Parts: sequence; structure tokens; C-alpha cells
Amino acid sequence: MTRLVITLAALALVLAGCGDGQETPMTLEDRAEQVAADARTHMDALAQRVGTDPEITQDEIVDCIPGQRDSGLDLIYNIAVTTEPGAMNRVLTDVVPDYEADGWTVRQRGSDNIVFERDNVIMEARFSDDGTRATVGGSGGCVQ
Amino acid sequence: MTTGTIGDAPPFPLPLYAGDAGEADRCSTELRRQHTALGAVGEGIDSHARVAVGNVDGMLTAPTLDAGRAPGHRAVRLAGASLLAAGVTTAFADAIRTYDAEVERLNEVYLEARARRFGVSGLAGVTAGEPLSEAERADELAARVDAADRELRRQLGAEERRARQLLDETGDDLARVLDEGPTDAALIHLVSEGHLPPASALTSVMADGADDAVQALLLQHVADGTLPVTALSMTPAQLREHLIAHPEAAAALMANRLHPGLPGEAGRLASLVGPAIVAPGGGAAHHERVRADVRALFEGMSADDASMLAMLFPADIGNQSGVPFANRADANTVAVIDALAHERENLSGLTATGRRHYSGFSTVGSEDEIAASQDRIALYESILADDRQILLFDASGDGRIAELHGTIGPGTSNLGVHVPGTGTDMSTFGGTAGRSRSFVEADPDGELAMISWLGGDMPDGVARDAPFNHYARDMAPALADFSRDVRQELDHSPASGNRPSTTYLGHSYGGATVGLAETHGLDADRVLHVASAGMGHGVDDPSDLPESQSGVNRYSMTAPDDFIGMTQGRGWGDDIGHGADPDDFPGTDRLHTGDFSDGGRIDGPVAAHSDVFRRGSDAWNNMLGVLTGEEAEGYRPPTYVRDGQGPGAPLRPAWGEGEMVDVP
Repeated sequence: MTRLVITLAALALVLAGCGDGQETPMTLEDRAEQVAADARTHMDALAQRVGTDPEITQDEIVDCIPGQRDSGLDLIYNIAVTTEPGAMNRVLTDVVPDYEADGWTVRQRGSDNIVFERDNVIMEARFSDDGTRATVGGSGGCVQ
Repeated sequence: MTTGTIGDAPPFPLPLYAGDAGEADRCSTELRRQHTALGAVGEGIDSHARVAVGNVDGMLTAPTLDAGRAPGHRAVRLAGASLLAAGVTTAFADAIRTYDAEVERLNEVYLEARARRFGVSGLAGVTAGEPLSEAERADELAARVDAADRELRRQLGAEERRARQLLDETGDDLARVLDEGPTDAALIHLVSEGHLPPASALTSVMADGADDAVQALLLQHVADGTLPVTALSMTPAQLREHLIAHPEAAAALMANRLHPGLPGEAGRLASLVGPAIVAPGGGAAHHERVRADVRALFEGMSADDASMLAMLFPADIGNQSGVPFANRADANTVAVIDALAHERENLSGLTATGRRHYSGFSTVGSEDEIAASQDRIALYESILADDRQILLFDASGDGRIAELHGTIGPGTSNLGVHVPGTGTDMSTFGGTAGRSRSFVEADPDGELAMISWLGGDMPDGVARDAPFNHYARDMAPALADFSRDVRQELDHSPASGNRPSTTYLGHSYGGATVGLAETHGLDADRVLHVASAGMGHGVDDPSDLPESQSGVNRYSMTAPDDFIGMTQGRGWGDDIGHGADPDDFPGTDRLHTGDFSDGGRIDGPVAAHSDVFRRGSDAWNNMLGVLTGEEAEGYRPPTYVRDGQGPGAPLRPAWGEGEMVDVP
């Protein structure tokens, strides 16, 4: 009888051990959130250098192709900030070099927009006509 | 020592009010009985007049009806007066009861204090000196008790005077109400205060044509138990919260339909939107007249009444052309509350079914259905929690929905309408809405508003359904009609002075829908085809578009190798195909779709179709440029350049030259 109890206990330990050793595969949602978290960190940091009073106005993970559930998931993130007139020039002069040194590809797009790209992250700073507001936003890329 | 005058410190116990609340109640009951009897007299006169009309001909018909009208009207007025008197009497009886209860409370306080000798327990604090005699001690104690007694009576007397003043004021108010006679407002106020039963007030309010239609309609729902009495004094926001907490009430309102017999604006609205006989070919003109008249009707109401009316008839008002967008959103809130309750039931059923499947053979179909149901629930909950502005809503089938993102305010100079493509239904609408919002939120000038429009059934599958054009044929007239609602809303909004421009952005199958809507006169300043299936069935060149579209500025973008390119410009017979390729359509500006972040192009069959919408990408930036009427980067043909010398050097994707396009 004692042998039976010991055997069962050992079996239970082995089974428990097997369970612990199995890794649960990450779901699409988990992977998308992981990518999104990284992208958010970059955009939060950029927003702090572009202006003050940051306010997150959009933070959604949606289908990559609107309406198609199986097209993967993609972050849409947007932060509004307050700026001083001339902010775009200041960002081009003071901020962009730091990002370029950090491996980001940066380009001015049109008269009010600077795009930062690295790996799969695209983020941009967009400045209002009067220079008192800007938005920083982007995406971490489609996760499939 | 505190002293007071005799008037300040009345004798106790205080008397109750001279009038008897019970007698007032009996009087009120008798008055209500009179109201019922007089109401019956009025109805009797009316029905006799109608019978009499049946026995006369021609010119005698009107005088016969008129003969009964005056006495019938008088009976109705008398019935109303009786009801008012009954309500006023009950109100006064309640005021007497409140006063008497206060007096009883004051008496109780006094008697309890007296039993404890008003808290006077000894002579502590008497000045030290000659010891007092027994008689002197007794006198001193009595004096102190007397003073405490007077002080307490003075305090309680003041409270009694306040209660009596309240009673007197109530009496004066009620006398004024009686003087003014049985107005709807007075009767409804008495119902809301609980002094009249809703049903009896309703007969009086409705019998003579309601003065305040919205209050009368609310009273109707109070009388039938759909809404609580407190609804009579709710603001629209409070009613909305009440309905969210009571979806059964929202369900009852969804079954509430307009008809011409309803009082005030509700009856007039029913007449406006009801069936009409029009001359051959006059349908469109009649429809435009209805749109204008409905708008005028709503603009003639107070903001609160318009909101209330919309919430009381959600099924008829939520999707009605001419109704201001804010009021469509009011109505559709109720529809969403109802849909959420149904969807939760549906999910519960699906979950049970799924469990059965799991123990049987397959869970696949059910898991998809469960996921779709969960997505619909998440959408509905978000709409209610965030007070999202739903301009079109129908939960049946795959669902129809349109949402306004941002506000149409004094600073709005552009409005975009985003029509999504294949696979979009109610359960996947969230992604479309998110993409539309991304444009609004990215605009630091706050000049852009967007609408996501899913006004019909989109194809479910890319290969199985999307080649067929009947989905677009069904939706195109509705989209064109909606575009006129949009224009009306802009013209009547605080943005009207800016003469806002409209852009219709169609993605994938949505592009074919927008294109086909142009053949129905889509009221657009700009049309933007994004990875579009085509210009619309039957639109092969500009001459296939009506004259109304001659001023439309068109733009198009399709990333290299997007699978949609295989269908653009191709068709077989009447049912398959979506007209010309928008990228090549004469007069259309083709736009650049740009790069991935690693320098590679947005290309490839599937990635190209999705990555154009990536927030911040070049394609997305060009869409925003069109939507805001600024500038966009013109088409740049894809090329390859060799990195290095010789045939073995790797090819690097690149772009040819392009030009910036000004967007008027």
C-alpha cells in the first residue's frame, strides 16, 4: 500500500513537472500587444521632446485591413501636445540628430510633418499651422 | 440666561393643522370620479355627433359635426378642470400631512425633553457664598427649568413656523395652478409629483391636443409603465442613462412607431415621412422636400425636446434623412441599447451551443460566431460608454452602421466619409472606425471630421463574393442619399461659414461602392479610391458619370502588386467586375503609396492592401492630405537600382520621380 502511494505521488510530480515545462504559445493578441507596447514607448518619448502637456487621444489595436478579421493586428496611437511657434524647426535641429544617431531614418514630409522610421515602427510629428499644437502618432506594424 | 417672548415660545403640545388631510383625499377622489364622468360625456357627445353625421348628407355634414363640437369641448375642459382640482387637492392633502408629521415630531421632542426636566439636573455653577436655603434652592431650580423650557419652545416654535410657511407657500402655489386652469404642464407636473395617476392625466392631456407634445408622449409611456414617473422631469442625458440601466424600456421604445394621430411634432413628423402620392418622376423631388421639412421641424424644437422626441421613436428617427445628426445619434443610442441586450442573449445561446458542439464533433463554426458576437458586444458597449455618435444603425443581418468621429464645429473645414471594403460588418466595424479616427486625431489644426459608413451588406469573402457587383449596386443609392444628408448637416452646422469640403474615401470594395454612388449623384467635392476595386460597375470613362459629378476631384492609390490590381478594370458580364481601373481613370490624380520603415516598398499582394492604412505611412499621409485639402505626393513608379557594380549586385527597390499634388 505504501509503495502504491509513493508511486502515485511520484507520478503526480512527474505530470506536474511536464505541465510546467510546456510553454503556452503567444496568441496573436499577445504578440500585437507586445509590438504595440514597444511602439508606444518610442512615441511617448518623441512626444515629450516635441511639446508639453501630452494627451493620448487614440490607442487602439485594430485589424490591419479594415473589416478583415484575419488580416492581422496593428496599433494606432496618437498623442496631442502643446508647442511653441517654431517647434518644427526646433525638432529638426535639436531632436532629429539624436534619433538619427540612434539608428532612426528621419525625413521631413511636406511642410508640417517629420517621419521617424526604424525596424517596423513608423512615427511622425505633425505641427499645426499656427505652431501651437502638434500630434505625435504612428504604428508598430501589422502583426500576423 | 436665554429668554424669549411668549410669541417666540408657543405652548406645547402644538396643534395639528386645522384642515383634515383625509377629508381632502376623499374630496380628491370625488373630483377624479367627476373627471371620469365628464370625460365620458365628452366622448358620448362626440360619438353621437359622428352617428348623426352618418344620417345627413352634403352641406349638413360639417354643421352637424360642429354642433357636437362645442359641448363636447366644454365637457372635456370641465373634465380637465375636475382632474386639476383633484390633483391640487391631493397635493394640498400631502402638504398637510407633511406639516402634521413635522408638528408631531416637534411635540415628541418637547415631551421627551420635559420628561427629562429639560436637562436641568442640579445647581452646579451657583456663585459661591452664603449657602442657599432649601426653598431658595427649589426656586432657583424651578427658574432654571422654566428658562430651559422657554428656550426649547422658542427653538421648536421657530421650526414650526418654517413648516407652516412652507405649507402656506404650497397653498399659494396650488391656488395659482387652479387659477390658471387645466394646462397640460400643470397636469403633468401633478403627475410627476405623484399627486395624479398618469393614466387619468393622459386622457385629459391627449383629449384636447397636447400643448407640449414631448411631455404628453412621455406621460403616455409613464402611463403604460414603460418609463417611471420621474421620466417626466428628466433631461435627455438622464433619460439616456435610465435606458442604459433599463434595456427593457429601450426595447419598448424601439417598438414605438410614429403615426399621424400623435400630438404635436410627432404627428407632424409621421405625416412628413409617411407614404405620399407623388407625380410620376416626382419621387426624388418629394424626397428632397421631406429632407428639408424634417430638418425644419427639428430645428423648430428646443434642443431638449428634439433629443427626447428622437429617443421616444428611435426606430423611425435614427436613420431618417433630414433629422439633425445629433438627434439621429440620440435615437440610435436607444437602438444600440436594445441591440446590446439582444446580442448578450445571442452570445449566451451561442456559448451553450458551442459547449454542445465541443462534446460532439466540431467547434469551428461556433467559435467564429462567438468571436463575432463578442466583437459586436464590445462595439455596442463602447458606443454607450463613450457616447459615440451613431448616425445610422440597424443590427439585423450583417448590420448597418455609420459613425461621426470628431465634431462638426466652427473650425471644421473638411469632412471625410470612409467606406470600407470586403468583410466589413457590424462585428468588424471597430477597425474601420479606428482608421477613420486616426485621421481626425492626427490633424493638429482640428479642422477635420470623419464619418465611417457601412450602409449596407459588404461581400463576406474576397474570392467568393467580392467580384460580384450587386453589393455595390445595392449600397450606392443609399450612399448617394446619405451624402445629401451630410451636405445638409454641414450647411446647417456652425461650420457652414467655412463651406466645408467633403471627401468620400472608398477602400477596396468600398471604392467600387463610392464610384457607383457617383452615378447616383454622390454629393462630393473629392473622391479618393484606396486600393479600390474599381470606378463602379458600368463606369468605364468620364462620360458614364452624370453632369452633377463634373466638379468632383478624384484621387486614387494602389500599392505595387496589391492583389486588387488583378481585378481593377476587369469585368465579365453584368454581375462581375467594378468598372474602370481608378488609377488610370481620366482626370484622376494617382498618388504615391510609399515605403515601409526599412526602406522597402509597400508592396506584395496582401501587405500592400493593408499597409496603406498604417498610421504614419506615406500612403496614410497622402490620404490625410486629400482629406484635409492640403497636398499629397503624386504617383512614383516603382523601379529597382543595383547596389554595386556588375550583374551580381543586389537589386534595391526604389521609386521613380513624382510631383506634389495640390488638393483643392
